[in-house]
Amino acid sequence: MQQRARVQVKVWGEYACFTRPEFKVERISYPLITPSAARGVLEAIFWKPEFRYEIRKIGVLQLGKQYAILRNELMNKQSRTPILIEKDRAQRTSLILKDVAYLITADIVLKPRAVDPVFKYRDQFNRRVERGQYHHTPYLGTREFAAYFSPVDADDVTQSVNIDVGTMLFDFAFIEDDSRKEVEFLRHDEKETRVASGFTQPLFFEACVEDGWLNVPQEKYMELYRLEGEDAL
Amino acid sequence: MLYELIELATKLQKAKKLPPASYKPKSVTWVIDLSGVKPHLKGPFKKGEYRIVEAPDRKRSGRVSKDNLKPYLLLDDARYVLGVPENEMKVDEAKLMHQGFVQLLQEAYAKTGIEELAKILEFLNQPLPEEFRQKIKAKETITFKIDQELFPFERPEIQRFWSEYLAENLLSNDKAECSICGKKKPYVRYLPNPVMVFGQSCQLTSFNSPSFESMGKSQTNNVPVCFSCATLTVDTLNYLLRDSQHHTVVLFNERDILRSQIAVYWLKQPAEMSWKGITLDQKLFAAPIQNLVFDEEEKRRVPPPELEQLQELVKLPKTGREQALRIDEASFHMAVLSANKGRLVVREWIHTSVSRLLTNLGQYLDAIRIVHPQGEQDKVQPLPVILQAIEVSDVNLVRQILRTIYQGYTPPNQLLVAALNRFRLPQVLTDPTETWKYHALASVLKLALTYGKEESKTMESLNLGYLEPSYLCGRLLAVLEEIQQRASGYKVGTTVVQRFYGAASTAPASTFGPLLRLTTTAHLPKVSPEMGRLLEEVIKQLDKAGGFPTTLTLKQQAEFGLGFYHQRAAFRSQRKK
Repeated sequence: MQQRARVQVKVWGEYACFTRPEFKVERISYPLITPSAARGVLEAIFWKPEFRYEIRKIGVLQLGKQYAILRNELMNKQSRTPILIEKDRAQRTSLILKDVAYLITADIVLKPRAVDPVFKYRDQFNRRVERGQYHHTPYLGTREFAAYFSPVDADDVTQSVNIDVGTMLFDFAFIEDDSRKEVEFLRHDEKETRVASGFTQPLFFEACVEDGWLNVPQEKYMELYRLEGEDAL
Repeated sequence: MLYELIELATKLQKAKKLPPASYKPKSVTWVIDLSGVKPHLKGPFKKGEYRIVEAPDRKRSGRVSKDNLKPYLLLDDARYVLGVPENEMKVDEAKLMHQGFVQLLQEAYAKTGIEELAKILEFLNQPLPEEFRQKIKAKETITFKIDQELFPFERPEIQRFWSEYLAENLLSNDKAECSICGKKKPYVRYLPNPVMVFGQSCQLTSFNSPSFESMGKSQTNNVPVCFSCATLTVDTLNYLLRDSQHHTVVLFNERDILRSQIAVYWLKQPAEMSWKGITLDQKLFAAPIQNLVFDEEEKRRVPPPELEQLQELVKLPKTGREQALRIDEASFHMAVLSANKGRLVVREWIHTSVSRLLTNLGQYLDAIRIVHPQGEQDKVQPLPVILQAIEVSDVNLVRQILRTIYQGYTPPNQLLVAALNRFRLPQVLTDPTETWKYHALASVLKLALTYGKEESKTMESLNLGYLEPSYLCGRLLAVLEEIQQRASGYKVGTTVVQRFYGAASTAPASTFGPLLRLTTTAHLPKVSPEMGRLLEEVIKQLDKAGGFPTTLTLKQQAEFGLGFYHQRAAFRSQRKK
C-alpha cells in the first residue's frame, strides 16, 4: 500500500509572525513561514491520528513587509485563577510580517495504525480546501493572525527571491521520557491514544530560499522520528 | 540577525577588533603594583586618565549570596578585590564577595599556573595596608600589576581560562541544536553578558515571566544557544554599540527610554571595496542618518562629509567596473534597537544587497535634494536635522523614514502633514535664524511629492515648466512678497507672507484677489517694470491652468509650498548677484 500522497495549498494573510525562538519575548519573525507553522496550517484544515504531514517545500508568493507593533500583553498564563490585568501586563514589541502569501507543498505520510489508503486522506484534504472547511481557524504563526487558504491556481507564481535565512526552526520533537517530565502530550500509538509525559526538543535547519522556493530537507524528518521513537511514524 | 552577527564576529575576530570572549572595555580607578618589595598603590585615575582595558565580564544581578556570587576575574570593585564594605551594615556582604574573588583567583592559578596570580594571592592573604583601606572606596575598580607591561588578565592563558570557566558554569547538562549555528552542543542556561543599550543592561533573551515560557521550559531552555554563539553575539552587539563607526542614535527620549532608538549597522563584503576613490563602508551608507559635524573651516555644523561622497557614488553610472567590485555579493545590515526594561527590542531589521541599497539611496537623495533658500546649491540635510525641523518624536514615523531611505518604501503620509504644519508658521518663513528649518521642511515637502518620480530631478530648483495651479499660486505669493519688499527697500516689518501664507496656501481663490489689488495699487508702481512683467506672466500661466483653485488638498498645499520656496530662492539668488 502506498504510504505517501502529495498535497498543495495556497495560504495568505494580512499579518504573520513566525517567531524566532531566540527573540521570543520581544518577538521577531522569520522572513517567511517555518515548516512547523506550515504543518500547523495544514493540521487546522484537516488532521487524523492516522497520518502526519511532512512539509516538502514552501513557495513564496508574496514575501510581505516588516511591521513593528507594540502591545500590552499578559505576563502570566491564563488559568482558572482570574488575572488582574492592571497588575499583570507588560508592553512587548513584535516585529511581524504584513501581507504574505505562500504555497505549501506537503506529503501526507501514513502511520502504522492507518488501515485506509492514503488517497482517501488526500482527497478528503483537497475537498476541504475547495470548500474552505477547517477544524480550527488556521493561523500564520500566532493565533491572532488568521490565515486564508484556497486550492492552488495556475496563475499563482512564486516571487523570484533569494534569501539566506540562516538557522531556522524546523519543528519540535516530543520525546517521551519519564525522568524529564516537563510537558504532557498526546501519543497516538498503533491502537490507542494516550497521554505521555516527557520533554520537547527544537530542531533547526539551514534555510535558504532559492528563486522563491524553500526546500525542506527530508532527513530532518528522519531525525525527528528517531527522537520521537517508533510511535512517531 | 544573530546569524549575521556571528558572521560579523568571525570577521572582527580576524581583524582583532573584538575583545576576547566575555571581556569588556573597562576603566580602572586603582592599580596595586606588586612589582617592588612593598605593594604600591597607583591612582586614583579619573575617567580618561588611564587607558581603557579589556577585562573579564559576566552578567551579575540580584542579591549577593553564597549561591549568587559572581566576581570578575582580576579586575573588580574594592568590595570583591579587597573586601572593603560600602558601610557598616554590609561588612558580611563584602566579606562574602571577597571570598568569592579569592576563590576564583585560586581556581585560575590552579588551572593556569601563572606565577603572577600566586603573588596576588599572597598579597591578598596578608592584612590590607592601612593606607589602602583609607584611600580606596568600596565601589572603585581595582586591579593588579606585576613587572610586566600587560595586566595579568590580558594574558591569553587567563583569557582562555575565563572563557572555559564561564562555559563550565553556564552550560546545561543537556545537548540540543543551537538556534543560531544549528550545531548540536550543550547550551547555556542563561546568556553570560548583557547588551548595553541607552545605559540599560539588556538581556538578548530573557524568559523571566511565566507567559514567556513554553512547553515546561524555563530561561534559555526555551531557546538553546551554545556558549560560543551566546558570547559572540552579545560581544559583537556590544562592539557595534560602542564603536562610533557602527551606530547612530536616531531618536532619544530621556523620559521614556522605550521611545529611544539606536541603529546599529555593518557591511558584509567579500573584500575591501573602493570606487573612484570612495571607500565603501558602513559609515558611508549610514551618512543620511548621521548627525551634523562641526566644520573647522566653515566654523559651523555641517552635514557629514560622507553624505556628499554618497551622493557622488549613487550618481556614478553602472558599468562593468561595478561587476568587478562584486557589489552584489556585498550586503548592508541594520538593526534598530530599543531597551524595554532590561530587555532588548529589535524595532527594525534591514538587510539588503549593496546594489539594491545604492538604488534606494539614490532615489531618496534625489527626492530630498533641494536648492538652498539663498539660491545656491546646498548639501542634503541628514535625518536628525529633518526630525528636528518637523518636531515629531513619533517612533513609528522615524522607522518609516528609515525604510524609505534604505528599503525604497514610499515616504509616510504623516511626514507630509507634519512638515506642512511647521512650514506655514510665520517664524519659519521669515526668521533668518530659522533658515535651516525652512530649508529642511522644504526638502521634506519635495521628498513627499517627488519620491520615485522623474520630478525629483526637475524640481530641485525653480521649474518654469511646471504648470500646476497650486505650484503657480505658490510662486505668485513669492512674487507679491518680492514686489512689496522692493517697494519698501526691504525695510517692511510684516510682509504679505507672514499675514497671508496660511490662507493663500489653503484657499487661494478667496485670498489672492485682495492681495493682487493691494500690490497693483500700492506696491507695483514703485518697482521696476520687470517685476510687473513677471507678475503678469505668472497670472497668465495660472489662467491657462484653470485659474485660482478654491481650496487646495494636502498634496497641492505641498506643491504651493514648493512653488513659493523655489521662486523665493530664485529672487534671493538674483539679489546676491
